[in-house]
Amino acid sequence: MEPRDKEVEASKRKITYKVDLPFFIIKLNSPETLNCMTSHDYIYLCTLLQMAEENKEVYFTVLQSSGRFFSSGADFRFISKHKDFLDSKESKFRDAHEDPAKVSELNKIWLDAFVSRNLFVTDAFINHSKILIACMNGPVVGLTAALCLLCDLVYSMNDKVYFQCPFAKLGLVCEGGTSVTLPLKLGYNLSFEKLMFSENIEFNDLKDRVIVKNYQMQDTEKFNEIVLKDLKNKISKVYLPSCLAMKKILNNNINSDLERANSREVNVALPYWVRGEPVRRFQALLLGKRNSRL
Amino acid sequence: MEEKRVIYRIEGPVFIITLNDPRHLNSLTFDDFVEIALLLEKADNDPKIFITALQSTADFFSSGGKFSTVLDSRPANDNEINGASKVSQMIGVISSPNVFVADTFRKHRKLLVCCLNGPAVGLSACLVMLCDIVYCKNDSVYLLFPFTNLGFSAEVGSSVTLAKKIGINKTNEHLIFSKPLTYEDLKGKVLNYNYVMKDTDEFNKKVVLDLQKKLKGTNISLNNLKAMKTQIRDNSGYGTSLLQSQALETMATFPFWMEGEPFKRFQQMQKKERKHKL
Repeated sequence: MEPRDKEVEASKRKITYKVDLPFFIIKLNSPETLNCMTSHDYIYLCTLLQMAEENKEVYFTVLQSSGRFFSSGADFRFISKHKDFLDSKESKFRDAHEDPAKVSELNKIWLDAFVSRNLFVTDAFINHSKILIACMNGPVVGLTAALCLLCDLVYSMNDKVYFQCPFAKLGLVCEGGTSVTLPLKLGYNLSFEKLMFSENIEFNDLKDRVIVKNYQMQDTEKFNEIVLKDLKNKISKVYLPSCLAMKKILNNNINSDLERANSREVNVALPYWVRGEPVRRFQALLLGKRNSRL
Repeated sequence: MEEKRVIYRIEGPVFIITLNDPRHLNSLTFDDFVEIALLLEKADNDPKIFITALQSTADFFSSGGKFSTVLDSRPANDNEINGASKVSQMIGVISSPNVFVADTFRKHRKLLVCCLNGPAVGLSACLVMLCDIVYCKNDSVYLLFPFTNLGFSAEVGSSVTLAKKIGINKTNEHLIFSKPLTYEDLKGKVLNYNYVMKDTDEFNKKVVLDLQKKLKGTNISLNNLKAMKTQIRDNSGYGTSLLQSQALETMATFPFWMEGEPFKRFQQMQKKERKHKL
């Protein structure tokens, strides 16, 4: 098998789905890696979202996870593909800023690896017409946190749930629509605090603003089951087409802001990737993690 | 002669509109909603009035639109009537609260205060959300927007007022699942003060006295009050969103009424085959 096929096969193993009408349930099923996500995983996730979008009998798209973390964000191992960006003497892109051909090559690399991926993934969530529900069994980090902030409804397993948007710490800027969703949902001042200092957004910050119900449970599988059971009970009397009309009208004002933000966010971030700072910081974090394990 | 369901009186700088049909939980006809809007205009044009207060009677603020008034609005001979005249008739029924009443609330220049004596449902709950200030009698109040349960979409500004006042995620939960907003959900976000009282008449009187005292305390001029109200409404984009919502909500809810699902569900409510989940 080609290496590419292997990666898609891995995504298929890590992210599962089932259709339980009117619900389309997507589950992050890689607890051993804290459900960290490769580029392929994000694209696969959004492909499943498209399937839910196209199925006329689906009204709710439910995101579930497994284990301790909802998702620890980007899989740091992508760094191994980008050794060229690190400050080694033999680095291909050493002093690249003096050579327009090298900068152009770098632009191309990051347009592929970052801009187009983030634009696609974020847009899939912004423009999803079904009710998006996140069942948060644990903490969520980075782009996955941004995606959870784009969900219409968020339920938490317990008060240990937190969101982390460590863009500043990684030498990056807001992504995944967070420049809109965080101020909208948390308020401006708290958003500045959390984004500028890459601080955890704790349960108490999220309660009622992002998380609409805390289930106070410990077991992820049972939590996922109960949330689904509750949802089935909640929709027993409602007229399902009304729900989608309701979502559309509630998001009317927000969606154009989000679409604009998505485009600005990825384009503003591109030069940071090209200059290499995020890769260096991911690498440092990866080394730090290894060292802390010793 | 039947007593009027919506009455008004003037007490100094306060124009008081009262829902006065406690035997029917102050449920209202579509014309009653228009009547409230016309009284709002009257208060708006009276130079002695600073505050327009909405009050009610007994223990329910208002249970919303009367089932009978909704069912009467159904176009006659549904199958025979031609398309154009069905559209004209239905759009009239839908626009009356969603455009005329909603816009009268949006552009009202006096301070709009709601004295919430008890639960409010449906279009009446929408009016509560459109008020500038809400005081409650006690913690038995709740607001219910059972639109998805009744087979249509958000109406009378609720897609904007709820999102702005209680946040989008909570709004999603309560509008999509027709789930009531309790005192705890509303405290500090919609409800400014809980009077912790039992008797509605005493509560209504106390609020008006307090409002008169507050006006005396600041000695605010009517022009200042109007100017500040315009600033707060318009500089934050709230006024523009409300204005947009009148067209958007009307056209989002309209296909559901044309298709007839709400009539089916109101009929089941009337026959008590369907209940709101509380």
